[in-house]
Amino acid sequence: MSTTKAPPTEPERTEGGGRPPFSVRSLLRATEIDLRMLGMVAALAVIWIAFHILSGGTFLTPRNLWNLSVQTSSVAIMATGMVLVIVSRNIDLSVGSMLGLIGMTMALVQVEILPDYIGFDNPFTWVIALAVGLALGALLGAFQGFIVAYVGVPSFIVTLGGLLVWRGVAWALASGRTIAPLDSTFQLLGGGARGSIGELGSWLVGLLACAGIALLLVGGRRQRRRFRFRLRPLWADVTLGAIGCAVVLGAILVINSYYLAPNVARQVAQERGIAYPPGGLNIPLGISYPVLIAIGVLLAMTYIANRRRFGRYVFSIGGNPEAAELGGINTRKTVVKTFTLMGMLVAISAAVSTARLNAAVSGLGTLSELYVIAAAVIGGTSLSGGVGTIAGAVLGALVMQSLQSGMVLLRVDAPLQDIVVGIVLVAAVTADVFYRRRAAR
Amino acid sequence: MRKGHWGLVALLAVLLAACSNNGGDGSNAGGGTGTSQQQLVVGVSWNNYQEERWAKADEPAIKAALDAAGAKYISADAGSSAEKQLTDVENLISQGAKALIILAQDSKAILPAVKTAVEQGIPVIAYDRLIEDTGALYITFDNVEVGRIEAREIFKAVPKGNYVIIKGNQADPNANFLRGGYEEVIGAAVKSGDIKIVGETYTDNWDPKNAQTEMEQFLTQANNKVDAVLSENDGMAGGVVAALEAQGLAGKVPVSGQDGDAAALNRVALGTQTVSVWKDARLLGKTAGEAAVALSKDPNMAGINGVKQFQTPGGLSMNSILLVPQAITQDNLNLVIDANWVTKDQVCQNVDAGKVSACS
Repeated sequence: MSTTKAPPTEPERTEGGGRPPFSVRSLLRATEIDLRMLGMVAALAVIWIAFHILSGGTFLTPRNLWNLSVQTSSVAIMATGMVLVIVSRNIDLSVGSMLGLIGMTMALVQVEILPDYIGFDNPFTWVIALAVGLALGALLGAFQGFIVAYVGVPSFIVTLGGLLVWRGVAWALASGRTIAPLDSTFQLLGGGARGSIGELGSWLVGLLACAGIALLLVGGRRQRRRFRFRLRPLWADVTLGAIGCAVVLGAILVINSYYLAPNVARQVAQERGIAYPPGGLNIPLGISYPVLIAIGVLLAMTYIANRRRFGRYVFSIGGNPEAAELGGINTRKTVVKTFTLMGMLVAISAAVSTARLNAAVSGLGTLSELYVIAAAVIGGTSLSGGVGTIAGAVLGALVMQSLQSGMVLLRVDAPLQDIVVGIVLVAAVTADVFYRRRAAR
Repeated sequence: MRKGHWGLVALLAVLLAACSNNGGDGSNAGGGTGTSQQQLVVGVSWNNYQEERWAKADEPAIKAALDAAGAKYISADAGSSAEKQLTDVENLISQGAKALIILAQDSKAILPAVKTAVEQGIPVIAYDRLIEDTGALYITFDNVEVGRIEAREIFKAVPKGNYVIIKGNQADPNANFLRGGYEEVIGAAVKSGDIKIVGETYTDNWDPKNAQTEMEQFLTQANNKVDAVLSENDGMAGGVVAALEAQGLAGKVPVSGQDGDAAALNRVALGTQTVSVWKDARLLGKTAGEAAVALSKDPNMAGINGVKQFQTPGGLSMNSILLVPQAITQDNLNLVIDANWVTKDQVCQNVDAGKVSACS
């Protein structure tokens, strides 16, 4: 076998790199890394470094990166669902309004309805509110999905209607009032001074992630051997694992070097019965709950998209709806499922945003739909369907939020911020179009 | 597929029937009474009815003033769209409005509609937001004064130090009136170096969520060395306080706001917000309603009580009535409770007993 395989690989190597057999390109090819994704990471790095220099060294501080991660989570959570919706050749314009409606509902449940029955700050309040939100999200999503799939109205129109209707219902529910303050446990979902898992918890998450990466690589090798696929070179797997693990632990290290503000630290020390030294006490916050939720959603959605039958169906519908239908896939049911999933993700995101603001305001989520769609598209999701990755969308959300937060640091005013974000959106997709054209050749 | 279409058609038919019924009822009632008693019709064009205060306070006050004069109230909501507001105004005129009260989405984009109305001899009242046309009567709370009051309360607490200024929507002239009021109070201290402005920005659509992000970034930039925040309204103050809370600074850094939102008044009681400037919307609505009735009888604006000349940023001299707003701090929270603007429960939620006099 090796004798027959060897000749064709030989000229390919010399073609790419000449005399030394390992060029950068062939190295990358051996690791099978997605070049597109690598390009996006590089672009993000350039943006971050530029902001760091322009802001006089404030951008790449643990504190700002911690802020950035929390600020990104709401849009990132929704973007993972939007990828599947867009991949199946649909669109959901209603997510912003739906976020407003679900957020308002959850706030009303915990501020005005539940206290009459179980009192203020009952330990179960947050669970009930969140469950109501998730159920409502699933219901609204399934309803829109049903009209799209079974009645046959284009999703653009259905969700455009949703954009108007849900916003109106949200207004009608509270007649425009601001509902605040929220349940104290529910507030933790939005991060804040107390809403994170602490130093030890963060390290545990990091170690778990490392173990996960190792397991994935080992499992991958085993699978390939089982199906007699060509194995990735061992050095590539080891390097990938080491880099992945280093990145994760590095990120945890950065996050853990952001400490509680002195005032909060003093209170926390008091609560834990630690003496507060006059020089101050460095208590790391660790990963905040909204970020942890976003990471969980990212992993779950990646699993659903790549490993579950449902995910494969979505991609095959996006690739060619007729072929998928003829191939025996129940396309309508699948589309309803994508919208239902989207609705539930909106509910999670609504919980995060209302908890973060500690209030449900009537305009909550206005224009979010555009940011969510933009994040998915910057992340490489093709509006013509069939193509897209969950991780890319999250990266896209991070790019957008980096631009916005960075420009506030540079004191760029709101209108100019919009201009920059708009240009970046179009530029990112243009670059993607060129990349795909070259890759197709 | 076929079945689905029929269902949709049926749904549309029902919706259309419902709409036309409503419209029919409205115009019939208006037309009927109009012909028999010559009832005066006053049209109100809201820019965005979805904000808390318009439905709760302004509309009932206008209605009450019109009812008292035997006039009829009709209205339209532009849903934050300057374009829709133009057609709204035309519709109100064709529905028989003999006086208009307009809360403009955009102070300039509304001008064509105002011109049309004025040409037809229909008096126009610019309600709360400036319309740069001398044909209109501008009735508002003195927004520069609101800015002065906010700045005065904050300046009293922090005469020296680092300030952050969170302004509202750039297209809303009020954002700049307020900023002008700030300047009158803190301008000298900024010049002398006592006050350093470490962050200042406009906020799209006065969005509290954006204000929170802005505040987080300013705190990061200044390494928490922020001593006071001038936030132009209560909604954004909510975002600012949430950002301060995360740094354990809520209640330590004075924050301003306006509108008298229930959540903001609760923050004032809790001590996390220093002042909420309260513009009693019922007074504004009443004044506007009465002025509309008076103008439809006699178009001479100068004849109305309290009218003064107002210099607009565009250089016009306009007839206007400027009402005086009220600063609400921890010491006089009883004002808003006694006026039934908010309930004591709303204001005093989570407030420690005996800390605030209005809550005990």
